[in-house]
Amino acid sequence: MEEKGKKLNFKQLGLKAGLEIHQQLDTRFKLFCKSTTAVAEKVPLENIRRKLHAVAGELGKFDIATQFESMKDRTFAYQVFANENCMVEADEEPPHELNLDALEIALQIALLLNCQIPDELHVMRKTVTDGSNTSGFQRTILVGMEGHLKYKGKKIPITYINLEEDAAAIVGEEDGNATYRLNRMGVPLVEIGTGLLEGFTAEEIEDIAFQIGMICRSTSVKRGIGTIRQDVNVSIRGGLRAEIKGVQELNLLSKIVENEARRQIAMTEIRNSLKRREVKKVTARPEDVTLLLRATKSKVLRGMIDSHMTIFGMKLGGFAGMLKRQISPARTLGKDLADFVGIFGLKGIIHSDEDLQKYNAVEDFEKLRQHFSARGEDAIVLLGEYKSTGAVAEQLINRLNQIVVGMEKETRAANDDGTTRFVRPLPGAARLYPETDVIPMPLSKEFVEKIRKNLPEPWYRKFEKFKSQYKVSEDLARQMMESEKLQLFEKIVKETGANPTIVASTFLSTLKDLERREKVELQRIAERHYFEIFDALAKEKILKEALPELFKYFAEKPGETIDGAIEELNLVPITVADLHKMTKELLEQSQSLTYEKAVGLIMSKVRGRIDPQVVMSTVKKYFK
Amino acid sequence: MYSPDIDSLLKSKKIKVGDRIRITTKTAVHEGILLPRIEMGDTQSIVLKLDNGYNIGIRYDKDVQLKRLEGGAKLGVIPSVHVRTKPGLPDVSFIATGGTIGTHVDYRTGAVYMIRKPEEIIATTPELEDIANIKVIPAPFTVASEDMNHTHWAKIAELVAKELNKGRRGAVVTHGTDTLHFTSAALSFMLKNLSKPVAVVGAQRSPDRGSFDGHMNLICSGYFAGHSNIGEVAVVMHATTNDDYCYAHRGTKVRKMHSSRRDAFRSINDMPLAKIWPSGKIEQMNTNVRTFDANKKVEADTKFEPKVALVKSYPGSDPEIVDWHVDKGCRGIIIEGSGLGHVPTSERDIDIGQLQTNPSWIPHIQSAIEQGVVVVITTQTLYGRVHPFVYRNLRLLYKTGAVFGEDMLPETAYIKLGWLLGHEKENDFEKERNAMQTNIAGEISRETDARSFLF
Repeated sequence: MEEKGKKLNFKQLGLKAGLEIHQQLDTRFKLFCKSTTAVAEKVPLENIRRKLHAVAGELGKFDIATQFESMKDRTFAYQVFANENCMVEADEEPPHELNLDALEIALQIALLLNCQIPDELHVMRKTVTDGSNTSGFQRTILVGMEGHLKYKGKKIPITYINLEEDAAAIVGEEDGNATYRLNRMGVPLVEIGTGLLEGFTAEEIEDIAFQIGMICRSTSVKRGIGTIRQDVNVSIRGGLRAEIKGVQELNLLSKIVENEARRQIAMTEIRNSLKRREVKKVTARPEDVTLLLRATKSKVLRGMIDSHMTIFGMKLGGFAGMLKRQISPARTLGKDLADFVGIFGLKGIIHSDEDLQKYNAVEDFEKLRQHFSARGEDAIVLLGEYKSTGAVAEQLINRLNQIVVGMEKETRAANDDGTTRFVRPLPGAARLYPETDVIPMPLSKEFVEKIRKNLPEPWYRKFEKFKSQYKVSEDLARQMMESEKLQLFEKIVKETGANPTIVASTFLSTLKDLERREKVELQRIAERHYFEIFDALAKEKILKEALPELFKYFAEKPGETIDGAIEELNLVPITVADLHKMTKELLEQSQSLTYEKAVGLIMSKVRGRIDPQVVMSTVKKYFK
Repeated sequence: MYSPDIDSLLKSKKIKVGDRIRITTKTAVHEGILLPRIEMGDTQSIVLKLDNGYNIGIRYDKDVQLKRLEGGAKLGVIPSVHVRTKPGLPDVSFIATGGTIGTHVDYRTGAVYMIRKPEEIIATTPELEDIANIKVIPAPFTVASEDMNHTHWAKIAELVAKELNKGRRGAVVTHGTDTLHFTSAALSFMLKNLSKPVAVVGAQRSPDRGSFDGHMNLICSGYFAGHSNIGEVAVVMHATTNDDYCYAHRGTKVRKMHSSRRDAFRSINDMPLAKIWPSGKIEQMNTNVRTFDANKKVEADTKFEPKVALVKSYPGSDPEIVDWHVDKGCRGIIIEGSGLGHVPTSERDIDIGQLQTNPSWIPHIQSAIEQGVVVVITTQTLYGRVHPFVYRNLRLLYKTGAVFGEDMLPETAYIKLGWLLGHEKENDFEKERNAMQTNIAGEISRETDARSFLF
């Protein structure tokens, strides 16, 4: 067994990873229609309900992944938002013309990453049947290929850059029926794919993703949570491959790569253990055992029977002990299989490697062992299905067979804790065909050269300049440059002359604290307020200590003026002489005050008007 | 559709569309499958499907080298099924005529093929096999609906009649959506004594995509034809934008009201006949329905006079269009008037200063009628009924002898008049006038259900 917590030697494991980075572009309109890309509305106008079904792929073959999805017979609900959706996203109208602003940004990124640009662009439909696109496909255009990025003296190959429509964002899922927000769908996005990265550690792979992200941020791209997402392909020597989708936090990436490597090691060990037990194939036949379990005392099983589910049981020869094997932190093989059946809308599985006392199912499993003539090294698995066909049980057996023979190629999704869960088999290649509603678009040499000549400054140069120009710390500079408030920051500093460090830390911590701790509705604060507040600060009308009070004030009374606010909140700074006077008066009135009490009373009168340090040192003088 | 340059180069290198080729340019080497190109874009660019599935265009010039690597697979193979039958299910005939529902996109080339066999449509919706025993009729023709005319309607009517008289329980006709309501109206008149369900069905999204709306439309059509208690021609399409249920609209009271939405077909001046769920549940919504009768024979009465015109009057319109049609030998004209049936009528000689008068349609209509042409007034509001007496201008129009077509849709009135005149060598004015104002196939409602507006 692989030791927990031990550092992995990625070179020895033969770690190979491929990155796919999705970055939303900051255009006003969507890629193929004039809905706004703001994605700010909270309350949907209506819900659209749709189904998707499998379509025959190239040469009449159904794509495995597509077929897999359609087997689920799911209904999708799409939330429609005012101004952020139109008939195009609703799949009720053909696409409009391509957004040229988005094309220009995508080409900038492609050129910054040294890509070849096709002479003519062809819009493609990429088949997607998980419901995240109303049409059943995503529109995508190859805009760059065969580029590279320099990293630690090596050339990281950039295989492709696609300009595409973002998919709808999932809101929730119940019994296999998913709800999506349609406002994100159609937002222009670039998808950047690297070649296979070999000989790097998990940390280096994360760093490469960061560098690519920063190249994107050299151009006009959206910032903030959810605007950049990473997928990572991971394989180690031994033939497994998994694509992990939707890593939103970059700093989780190395952990995910490492956990995935550990999972693949664990799966290989399970396979080897099975081999030793001479398990070559899972030959289990799922059987309807509902009748056998009719006298069950288990709440879970009783619940299944009462809701008219069919309980399927099966004997997995040689699997005893395997299902409780840890495959990644806090995740056993059994849990992974439960997630697998969850995709078909089932709650999970019950198996003999679990604590059966907990389910009050010890007797039931004894009965089942007898029924299936199970030996000690066999495992028993139960699952309740809504239909009596046993289709999910069959899928589970297919899945187990993949584990046994080692043909596991799958798409997994990132969990917040850095582990992953099964989503679907890895899709095959037959997933792209031409978008017949949009005509091919030739790119003239002049057009591409013009973009090449006017490329924005690359990020790393901007970063150095940023640090020296604003004289802010490395950390603050990095955070500010990743922030969605970057442009506002630059404008404020330029126009008001306020201290850059104060402005940056206001955006990066003060405001976030106000929002999180005091539930201040920051969206009510207009750009005008930021300018007025920082202008007052620069003109020394207020102290930086007054900032939180002012933001809170404007969030509640956005119609007021800054001067009115300073007066109403009594935030005019006071002098040290004023402070001495106040302290003297206070101590004359009540002579029994302690130092702490006195500071507290004074602070309550002067909060935001003078540096608290000054209050403490001044009051202290009277307590010697 | 490559430029002659590229065409001759491909010929000389014996490279065919679908072959795997290598293209070497000054700066790069690309490998992939050579694709055909559409008439748009740069015909001097070679379209290549790369191994990652994406297509790109590579501009051809003298520095570009082409090499054939290997031959390609056959293009244009359409998935098909061998239709199974199950005991106990009703027999339903399946007639395919073309349109979006009958297209197939070749996933590699993007080329759109018309299907050649109805089995290829059934392959998109295999569920049909569990709803009815589908009797596949060889496609009579494969035509986009905008290219159809009375000869196509007659052909479909004859096929449907023949099938139903063989003892089939119902029929499903797949069709392009643009003029689907013309066909449904034509079938409603041509299928005399019909007592079995005939579903006319199409799709607004093509079958290549997961969101193909024809899937549910076909399923609901199968239930309508195989299981409903209705003996009429109906258009069976999405009721809403959701994939929840379909409506069956009366063939003479339905119209395509949107260029692209799934629920484009709406009942006008009538309630839908039924609501049909893809689970097979059918709820009748209209009491004025001809009920199913398995024993009656239907007759295909397909005579049709194509010399009938559909003309729209509008502010500033030139009424000489009426004379033009009369000169061309037109025997009937349907006019889409405004509101209650108005046409521009400015007959009074009053001083209106700077403003101009519209030329009046009245003398032109008068003249047409005097020459034996049947003129029928309908309304471009589509919803509502025309009325000959409410305003003076309507009364003037009425006095010409124009027939006021009640609450008939202009398209339905056009079909009806063509069908009526098809049965007469000469126009018998009084006969036609009476027939146009009498309900034959559900096209005129005696009273209008108030709920039907914008339903």
